[in-house]
Amino acid sequence: MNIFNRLRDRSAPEAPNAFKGAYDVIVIGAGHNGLICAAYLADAGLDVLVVDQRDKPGGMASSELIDDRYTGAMGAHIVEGLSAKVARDLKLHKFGLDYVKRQLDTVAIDGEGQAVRFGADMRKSQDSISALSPQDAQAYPVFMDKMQRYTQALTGMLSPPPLLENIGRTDAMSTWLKGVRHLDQNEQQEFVRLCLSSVGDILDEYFESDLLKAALAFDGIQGGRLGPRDMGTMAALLWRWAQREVSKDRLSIPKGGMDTLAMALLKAAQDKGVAFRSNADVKALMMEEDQVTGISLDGDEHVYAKRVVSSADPKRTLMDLTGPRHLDTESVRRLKHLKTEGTVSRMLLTLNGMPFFTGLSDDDWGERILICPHMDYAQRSSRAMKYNELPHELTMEIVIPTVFDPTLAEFNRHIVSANIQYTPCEPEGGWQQHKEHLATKALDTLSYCAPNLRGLVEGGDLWTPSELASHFGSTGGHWHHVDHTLDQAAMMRPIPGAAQYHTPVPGLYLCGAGTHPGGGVTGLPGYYAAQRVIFDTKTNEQGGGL
Amino acid sequence: MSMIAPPWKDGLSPTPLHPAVTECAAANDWVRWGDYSVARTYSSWEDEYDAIRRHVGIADLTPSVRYRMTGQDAEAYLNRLVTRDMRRLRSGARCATPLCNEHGHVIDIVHIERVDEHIYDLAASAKMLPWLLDSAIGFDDVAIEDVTGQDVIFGLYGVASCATLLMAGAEDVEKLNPHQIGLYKIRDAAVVITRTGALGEMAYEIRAIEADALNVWDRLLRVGKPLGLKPVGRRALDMCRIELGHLSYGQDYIGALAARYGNRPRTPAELGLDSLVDMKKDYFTGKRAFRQKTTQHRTKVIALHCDGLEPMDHAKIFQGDRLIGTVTSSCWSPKLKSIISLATVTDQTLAEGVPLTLDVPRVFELEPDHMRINATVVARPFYRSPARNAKVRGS
Repeated sequence: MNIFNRLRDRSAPEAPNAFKGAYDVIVIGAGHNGLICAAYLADAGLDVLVVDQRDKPGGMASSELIDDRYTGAMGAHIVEGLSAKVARDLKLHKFGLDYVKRQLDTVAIDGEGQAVRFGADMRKSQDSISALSPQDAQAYPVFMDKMQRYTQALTGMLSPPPLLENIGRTDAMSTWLKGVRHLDQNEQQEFVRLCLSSVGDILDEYFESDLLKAALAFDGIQGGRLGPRDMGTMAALLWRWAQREVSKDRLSIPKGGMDTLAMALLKAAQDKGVAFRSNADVKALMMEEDQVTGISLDGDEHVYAKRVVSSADPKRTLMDLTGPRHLDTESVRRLKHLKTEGTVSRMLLTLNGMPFFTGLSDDDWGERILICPHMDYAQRSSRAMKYNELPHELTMEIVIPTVFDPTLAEFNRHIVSANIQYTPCEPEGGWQQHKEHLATKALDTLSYCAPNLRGLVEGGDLWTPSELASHFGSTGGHWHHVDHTLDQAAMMRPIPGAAQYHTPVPGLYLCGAGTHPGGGVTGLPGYYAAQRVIFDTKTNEQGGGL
Repeated sequence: MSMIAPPWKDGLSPTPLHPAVTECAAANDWVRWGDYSVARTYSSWEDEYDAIRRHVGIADLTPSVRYRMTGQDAEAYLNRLVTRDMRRLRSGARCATPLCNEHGHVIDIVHIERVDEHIYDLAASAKMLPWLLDSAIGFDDVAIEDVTGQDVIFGLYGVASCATLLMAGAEDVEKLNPHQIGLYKIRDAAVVITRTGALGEMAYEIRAIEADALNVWDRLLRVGKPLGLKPVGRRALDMCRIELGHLSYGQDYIGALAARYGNRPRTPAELGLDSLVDMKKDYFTGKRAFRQKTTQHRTKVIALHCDGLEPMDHAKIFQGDRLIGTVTSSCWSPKLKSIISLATVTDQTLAEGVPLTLDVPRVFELEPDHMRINATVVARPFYRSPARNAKVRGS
């Protein structure tokens, strides 16, 4: 305690700019989780500074004006599962968050003219599916209702899990697993089976249409390294659906691009008294007696705080900013094994007209379009990526945000925003020789599905996972910072010994997508991390989750 | 069908000294040490013990596990690895230190020699290269190499050890202080000599390259003969080790990397090594566990004087009717004329002078049997020679 008072007294008058030299809490990274965490902390009466290496807030959920021509997102292009509680607590709508489209449907196409659309409206979904297979149309509501039971069971598990060391304690576990306890015995058995199965095996049990199965499986594999035939992907699918449950808007497109969300979050945080400092690259954490005392910024500037919350990914936070010298060998080992390599490349195309995807009707254009005709198609691509090769066939998720929001580009221009799944982080031989190839292939794939697209292309950009990594400063450029696999979930996320938003280092917390309940734009990691810090502040704990 | 050799080594290797050692090993009594076989007794363990305590004994320590760390970051690396402050270890000095895991459990008690500013040798009780390599993540300039068996190592123990080295030609070796390292020559062979104080005696460790090994051994044996030098086997060494009260890896404690059960490894405090844990130095693996006291200290190592005339390894220890622990090492001590034992007990408050009862398992004419023996808690070490740290006067 004394150290901090001393530090604060000494440094406060010397602050070289409008910012103070000491705060109660410093939040590293102004991504959505960082800002949400900061806002809650400030709301609890703490003096909070948010720093970000970039010139704007938002992190991976932001958009930028590209070539002065259009506004596009280099990171997430859909707000997926933003927690309704967070949006309400922070009054995000008051601060400008508005959607042009809520509850996006999903449309899957196979390029041959077949398409299937499903979403919130069960009747319409069944109609669409029955064109592929009447059997599947009947099975679909049964499947969805059943999965809804398990998704509900999982939503309880979105709350912070007990520490790994308490896994044998029934009281700690049973609260967390409340949702699962409410299932009956047969359902519990099924739940365990589902969580350990591959999404492919489960879908094969219900459906016969390849396109429908591939489309449903997509949510279980997107952003990750696993293919639909790999074990644990069913759990990933249910987890993703559970994350959407906490939001009433499900998948939605904000008005004015992803930056609307970032700006609303920033305004909400600033309204509560949070100081935001852009262009502040954190070089290292300052440590005294094995405890965090602040951050040192580019240019040898020190900012002191008793607690530092990092929304950067766990590897960057602990290996780069803290350094292995302040960690036990076991922690370093676990961090070394952490799977953080990104698999998604981003592509933005500007078109001077509307692309017509074969098989889609006019009102499908603005929805989430998936190019994934077959589960084996995705599986083959994941195999290629596993061995650091470019896949022959590209699995893509496409959104054309200009359909609902023409303000994003010039008049009668459209933006095609695509996620290219299963691109290796560092392909054999380096990206330099593969990037051109990937762009051609992506354009070929799109043109195959929308024959008029190639003639409409005015310009475009492609970012590989490694480019996204350096742009956003996240190790490996993974969407979720840390892959959503069973070994990196719940009390093991990101690593045992650093769960529950603590790290092994006293005073250092994590609040990014690398913590429970993981990636997406839920805002829950930020919210729960803030609760942890507030709790520790009240009890005067220093954290240090050993 | 061709026979494919298994990837592991079948049987044990002889050390490079084996041809010379065999000539002295009249008892033909061998024991495994790592991947090597070494003599347990050469002729008679009584004579060998006597040589160590009264004259000088020479032992083949080649199988001991050695790692070499080199590079600019070696100091910082070792400082994070072990519990003592490595920045205080000067070039040409050596020290013993525990190294722990994240729970503060002892992995091993190692000896570290700072051969040069950026070169360290680490002598361990068991192999642990994966641990050492993973500990090096984040330290850019440190190379770790397993050098076990690369050099031949002799141990020289006893009051006449310095005289033997001088007579063998290692000039000025008397100026070597305890825990210091120096470069010397024995019969044209360059050797590295460390004064160790092992076994509680005046002791040296001599390291020579394999090509010189037999030469050096011959020379030491020949010049030492008038001084009473004898090759000593593991049995005599172990007796002296118990008399000194030093804990043996795998016998008195289980290393944290080798333990199968979570409650088996011990903290430095439990082993009586808390003075070797420096809480003021930079971070090391286990420091947070020590600071936050997350790991319980359950046991304590004690020394026992026992009645009876036979070693009583694995005897159960009773205080009254209460079972409180197990004997881990035991031997007849010629110095103390008594059976002495090291034991692990669960009662941390057990003080010197407390009488205990031992329940010793034995087999008597094919029938399992046990006997009850009285024992008393005494101080560690049992015996330690004043010569171990003595200054040697020049000849």
